[in-house]
Amino acid sequence: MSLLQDFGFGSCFIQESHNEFERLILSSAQKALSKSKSDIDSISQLFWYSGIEAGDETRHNDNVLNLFRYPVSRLRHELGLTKANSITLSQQGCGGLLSSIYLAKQLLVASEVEKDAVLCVAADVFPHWAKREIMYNIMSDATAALVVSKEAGNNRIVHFHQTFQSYYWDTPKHEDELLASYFPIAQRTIENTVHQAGLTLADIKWFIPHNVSLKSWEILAKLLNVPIKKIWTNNIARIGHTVSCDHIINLVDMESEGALNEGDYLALFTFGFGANWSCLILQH
Amino acid sequence: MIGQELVPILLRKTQANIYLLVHEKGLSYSNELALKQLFRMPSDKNFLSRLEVVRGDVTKQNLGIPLPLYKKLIGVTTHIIHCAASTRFDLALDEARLINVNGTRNTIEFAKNCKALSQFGFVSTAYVSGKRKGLIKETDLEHDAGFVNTYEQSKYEAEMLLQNYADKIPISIYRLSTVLGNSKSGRIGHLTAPHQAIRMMYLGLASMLPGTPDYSVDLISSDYTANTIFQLYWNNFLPKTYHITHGEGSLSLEAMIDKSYESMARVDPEWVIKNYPKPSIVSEEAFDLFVGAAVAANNPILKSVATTLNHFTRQLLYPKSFERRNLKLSLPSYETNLPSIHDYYEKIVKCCIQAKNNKL
Repeated sequence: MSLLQDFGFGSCFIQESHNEFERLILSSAQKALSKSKSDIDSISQLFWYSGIEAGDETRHNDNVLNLFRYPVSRLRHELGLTKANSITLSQQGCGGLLSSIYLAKQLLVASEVEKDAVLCVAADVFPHWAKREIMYNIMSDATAALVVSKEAGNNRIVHFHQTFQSYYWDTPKHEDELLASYFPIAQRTIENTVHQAGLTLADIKWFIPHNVSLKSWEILAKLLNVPIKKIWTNNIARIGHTVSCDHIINLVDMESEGALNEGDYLALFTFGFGANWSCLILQH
Repeated sequence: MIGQELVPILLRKTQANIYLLVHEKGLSYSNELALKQLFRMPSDKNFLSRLEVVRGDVTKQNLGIPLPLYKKLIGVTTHIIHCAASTRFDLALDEARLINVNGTRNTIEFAKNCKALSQFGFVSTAYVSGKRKGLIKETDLEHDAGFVNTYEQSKYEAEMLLQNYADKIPISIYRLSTVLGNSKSGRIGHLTAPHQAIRMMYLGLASMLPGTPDYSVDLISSDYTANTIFQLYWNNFLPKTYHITHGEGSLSLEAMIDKSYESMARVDPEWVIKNYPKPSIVSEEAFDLFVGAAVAANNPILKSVATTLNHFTRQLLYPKSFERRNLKLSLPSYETNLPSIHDYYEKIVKCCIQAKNNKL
């Protein structure tokens, strides 16, 4: 525990009861919809992302039909999304929600519907048997939701870039190589994304992290030659890492703290097992 | 590594009798086995009659040689080349001093007793200059810039010690930069820090290296270096210090990384699919944070990688060039015949990646 504290972690959130995440994700989605300018009928897609496949432990019993008890359908039903195509995305580790946002944007770019919008939700829930430390990071359970729409007033999607290293697909086998590769590829992914967006690192007001160890962000800040104060690390100790929900939780908290100003460029970075390094540039 | 190259030259180009002091790791070597396995030479009668393996230990009094043999050796020895050293960068200072400073002291004591001694050669490192930056002269030694590892410091202290005997013994010092391996065969005597760095890149474990992309990495071949030492020592002895380095035309750090990856891809085409990233070239501050985190995390592999790179690569933060005035005066053709690193680097890489479990 002392090492994890030295690495910047404080507490961890674990769902209290079985499948509590289904209630949490409904609540997250309702909040995202109520904050959004999009009305419920304009939601044409519902993307549910989970990087952990063992989220619903009630499915594992004798009735094979339980394998087809889809939380995404339940959410669609409970939200009353009568016009949305609902689907679950998976297997991109912590990078999945940023990829969902990129997919949503691409769909909207192709869509001819004037007020089209996509609801993206994510659920990161570890099975009860899983330990909460992964590669020197504390893992919390969480849900998050956001609406990607043509009408959104802020957080314009500027650019998204992802670097893949599929040789590392077998995570336990390649743990050491992954740890060694993390920094050089993270550095290059962020630099390339910012460059491809026509920006410089100095243009980025905030780097919004996945809440992995503060120590690793201190190192990455040095590699990027950006001051650590430009990386919003406030939730690392309080929440820890949540697979894919970190950026949305951080964005919401930054907004409520008044840390964001209109026009600020934000760089959201994450690493996902599989393996991928992802960076999304937003303009607030 | 240099001793392995130098002995065959001495056997082939001179008629000298050679007494080869070997430490405990060489206990199993008979004269014939040493010729075959250490020096890869044929069991020629002439060679065998002139080579004698002597078991000893430079850290011990009388070099750990039994007294009757010690007495015989001080009676017959006319030349000494002292290249016994630990080249490990990660030893505790006391351990490094025991071998590199005390070993030199004991060798000098032996030399003082040799009645017919005409010359003493000492193989050292150009990095006795430690954390100094800029131009380093062959006549320079004393400084207070500090050292990046205990190897540098202990060799520096050994050279300081030798200065005390300069008026009694004719001493020539050969300061080498980083010896990579044989330029013709790619053979590496044993894996040292640069080889470990290449291996870590091959295994996808090299995360970052400190320095700047344009830092010049001075690498030399063991065969050309041994031949240079032979010429300076045997044919043209002067009690001076020489920088035996690559100098101009050395690879930059960025080029060395690129060349390593290109070579690995050619030597092992299947390796390419792994698509390992090249290490980042980072500031000292970033590297310190990384090493600190790896050590704190206590992950055995990363800790080992970080500490190995730490000892080798930290010198990359102190850019310097080595003047070769004495060398050029004694050997004007040195630069003309110097093998290009570009021509033999791949052979060295091949040897590095064929090493099993860090052993050749």
